[in-house]
Amino acid sequence: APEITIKAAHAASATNTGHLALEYMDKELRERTDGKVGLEIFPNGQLGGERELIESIQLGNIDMVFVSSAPLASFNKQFFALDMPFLFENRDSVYKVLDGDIGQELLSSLDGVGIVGLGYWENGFRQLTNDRQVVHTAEDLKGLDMRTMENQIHLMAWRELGTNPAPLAFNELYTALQQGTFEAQEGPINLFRDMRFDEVQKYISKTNHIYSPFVVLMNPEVQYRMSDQQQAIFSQVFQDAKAYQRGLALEADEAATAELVEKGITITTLTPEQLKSFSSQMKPVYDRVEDIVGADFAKRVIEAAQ
Amino acid sequence: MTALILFGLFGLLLMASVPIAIALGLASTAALLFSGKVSSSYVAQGLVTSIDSFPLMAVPFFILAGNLMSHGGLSERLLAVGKILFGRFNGGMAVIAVVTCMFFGAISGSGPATVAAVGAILLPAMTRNGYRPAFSSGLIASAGSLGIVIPPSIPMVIYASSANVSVTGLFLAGIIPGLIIGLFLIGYAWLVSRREGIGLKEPSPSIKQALATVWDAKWALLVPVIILGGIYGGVFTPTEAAAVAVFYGLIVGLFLYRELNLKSLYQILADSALVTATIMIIVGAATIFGRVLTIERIPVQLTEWVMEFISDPLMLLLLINILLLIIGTFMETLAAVIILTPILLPIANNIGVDPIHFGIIMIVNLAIGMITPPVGVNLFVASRVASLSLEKIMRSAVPFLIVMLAALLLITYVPAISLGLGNLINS
Amino acid sequence: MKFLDKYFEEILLVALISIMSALIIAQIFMRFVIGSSITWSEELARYLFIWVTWIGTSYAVKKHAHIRVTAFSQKFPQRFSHHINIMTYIVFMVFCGLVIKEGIALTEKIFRFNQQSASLGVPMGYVYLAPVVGLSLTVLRLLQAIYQEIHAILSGGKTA
Ligand code: NA
Ligand code: NA
Repeated sequence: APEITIKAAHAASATNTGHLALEYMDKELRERTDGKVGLEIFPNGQLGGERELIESIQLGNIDMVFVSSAPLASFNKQFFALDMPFLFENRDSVYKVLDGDIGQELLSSLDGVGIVGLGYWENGFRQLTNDRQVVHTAEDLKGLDMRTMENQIHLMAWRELGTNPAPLAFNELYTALQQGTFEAQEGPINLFRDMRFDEVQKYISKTNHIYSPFVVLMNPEVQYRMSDQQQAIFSQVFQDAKAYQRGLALEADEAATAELVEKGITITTLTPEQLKSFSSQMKPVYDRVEDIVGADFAKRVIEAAQ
Repeated sequence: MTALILFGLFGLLLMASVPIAIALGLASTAALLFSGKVSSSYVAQGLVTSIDSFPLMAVPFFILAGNLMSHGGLSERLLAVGKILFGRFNGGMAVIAVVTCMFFGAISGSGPATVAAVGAILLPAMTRNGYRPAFSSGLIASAGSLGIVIPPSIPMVIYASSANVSVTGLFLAGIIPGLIIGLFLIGYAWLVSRREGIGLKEPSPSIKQALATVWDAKWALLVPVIILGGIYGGVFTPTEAAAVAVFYGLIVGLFLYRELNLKSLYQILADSALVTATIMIIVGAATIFGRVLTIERIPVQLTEWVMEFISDPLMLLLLINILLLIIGTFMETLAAVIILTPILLPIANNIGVDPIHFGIIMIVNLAIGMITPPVGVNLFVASRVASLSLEKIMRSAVPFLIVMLAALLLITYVPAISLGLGNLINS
Repeated sequence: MKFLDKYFEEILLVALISIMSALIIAQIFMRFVIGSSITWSEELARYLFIWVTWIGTSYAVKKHAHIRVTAFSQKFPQRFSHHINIMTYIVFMVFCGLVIKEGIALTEKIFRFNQQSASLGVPMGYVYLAPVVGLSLTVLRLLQAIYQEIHAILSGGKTA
């Protein structure tokens, strides 16, 4: 076993691209440090859900995690800025924000709450799925019972769009969709496929309403366990893993889309005008985000994303 | 060594009659302190996060609903209707208990919640009708575990996702095995009732009497209609259904049957909170115990070690069952599914077991784990609800355990039981 | 004082479990009948549920309701039963002490890092306070129980 074992955990499945990236890091670290540094990976929420994992980083119980940005907002409200719907048009604009000053500022702001933010991997653009009808415009959403993440901005956005949103434990979602307690949900297409929601949902609209990164976090103590040279190697391996993971995520997204089409799921690409029917209603949501993260910061994020 | 501390200390404290939750918690803390892999603040954190779960809240709500129905006159009327249907047979009430558990478990998907609800409703009545309390509690604890076998079932959703099989297919595959286990339990209960001469053995009522009984029970009969209809009709989730049952039981007990008053209501609320707490603290501590097993990689090592010795497929399948039973005894169902699926599924694939069939084998094993001492959460609930010592319940659960193991063997070695329905529908 | 001793946890628990149920019932009513969900009810109910568990732990000591296996300890002569009980109470207290110690440090950290709940935006520290408060009450109840056992030993071991 390596001298320095970094305990890494996450709540995604062991086939998720984030998990594969951690395995990649483990392999590369061992190779480049003569087997002295390695990872021990706990997938599938074995050590807790995302909120608990972030907390475990603060408490020093776990060394490294990746989580979606939504639960991070409970720890640092600036992260609500990434929840502004329809902020990003495509991945280029995502990378401009996340890999630029804004992304770095967000990561640095975590220092104050006992967390080192390493960087951003990809969970995916979130899409709207439902079992009632093909959704082209916001008009089609009226009264749709919808499951969202437990995040006030997400909830508010879907309420503005005329749905009836409520949070629900992710574990319970399949059954709730099957029985019709909820008719709609939203999330990355990848996860939709992994959770087998294709058996209980018929329509996917490519709304790309929010981009969910995996934010990779580390306990500040970990760096002191490594020598300067090992730290430098770790940083390099992390950068390589980022490129590797983003490539995998893109491929996985395309593969999932193809597979779902084959299974008979109707995937609808929306025209700019149709997307406008959603995004034009987001003013109150943006106002709320401004209230939370500050008007200046919100403005800078919006500008950087253009 | 860490495993030795974990299990050794737990066993020791258990024998010293320390409360089970405390034994689990202390053993976990000691193991963490010894291995140093995670700081022991992990325990304090886990005592909150492991019960921070909406699905788990079905447990207090069903306990409360059961108590309200039992004190509010609903249970009695439901039973009167049950007697009309099954009263002519020996052990009729035992049959009612199993069938009720199957329905209840089917919707709640939670073993402990099922035992709590059905136990609170039926146990007093069964005792009044001559059943030994230990027997009826053992029966209900066992039948309550069917909740994760009969769809819908959250453990199945999780298995399907990590095994990459269809959830609907898995749900379908669970139906017949669930019914078979139910029938096995009914058969055994019937044999015992006949041998001991218990049962209702009442003369069949006249049509007029029967109608009067049904009419009197109309409000109570709406309970299953509301709960089942509400969930299958997509009005609410199982946890919400439990809360609706609380509300409905309260209204009927207070205003329609008028058998509840504010004083009894206060007592019911206090008792339900007490039962809830004694169960949830064990669930919380057991979750932490399971997490420590995970951190120390004990299930993985055990599996790898065991699998080295065997290559014969039939033996291997038997061994996998034993392994699942042991781990299911000590770990919470979902955690066990998450950890074991990636290790065991490739082995099962290798010996040609269909992944859906294997999912059912795993789920049935873990269901049996709910009634396997010393960590059988259904036994704890039954012991609380029936106010019986844990030893009595454990002892009385043994024959049911054997019956379920027999069903498990059948399900393991006859794939058609699990796969037949799906194949029939697909063809 | 006597009133507090008798009813403190009980009244608290009745209040907590009532509110918890009312919240979920209201949530269903709002979603199904009014067609507009309350988004914070589930969260609040969940956190009350955690408080019910930990306040209930203390209440369960008072009511001698904690689930345990007595098959082995019963093999000892009857006159030792009080001694065995005292020993289990002390082990229980050790656990309480460990959790309270870790729990205070944990709660302090979580308050300091100002983590907020996802829907209500209240400090999560209040949730983590539940085992600390509940087990502190439990320690008092355990001391009370030990006192009763000692009393029983001294008075000839007939009653507790
Ligand atoms: Na079920
Ligand atoms: Na068990």
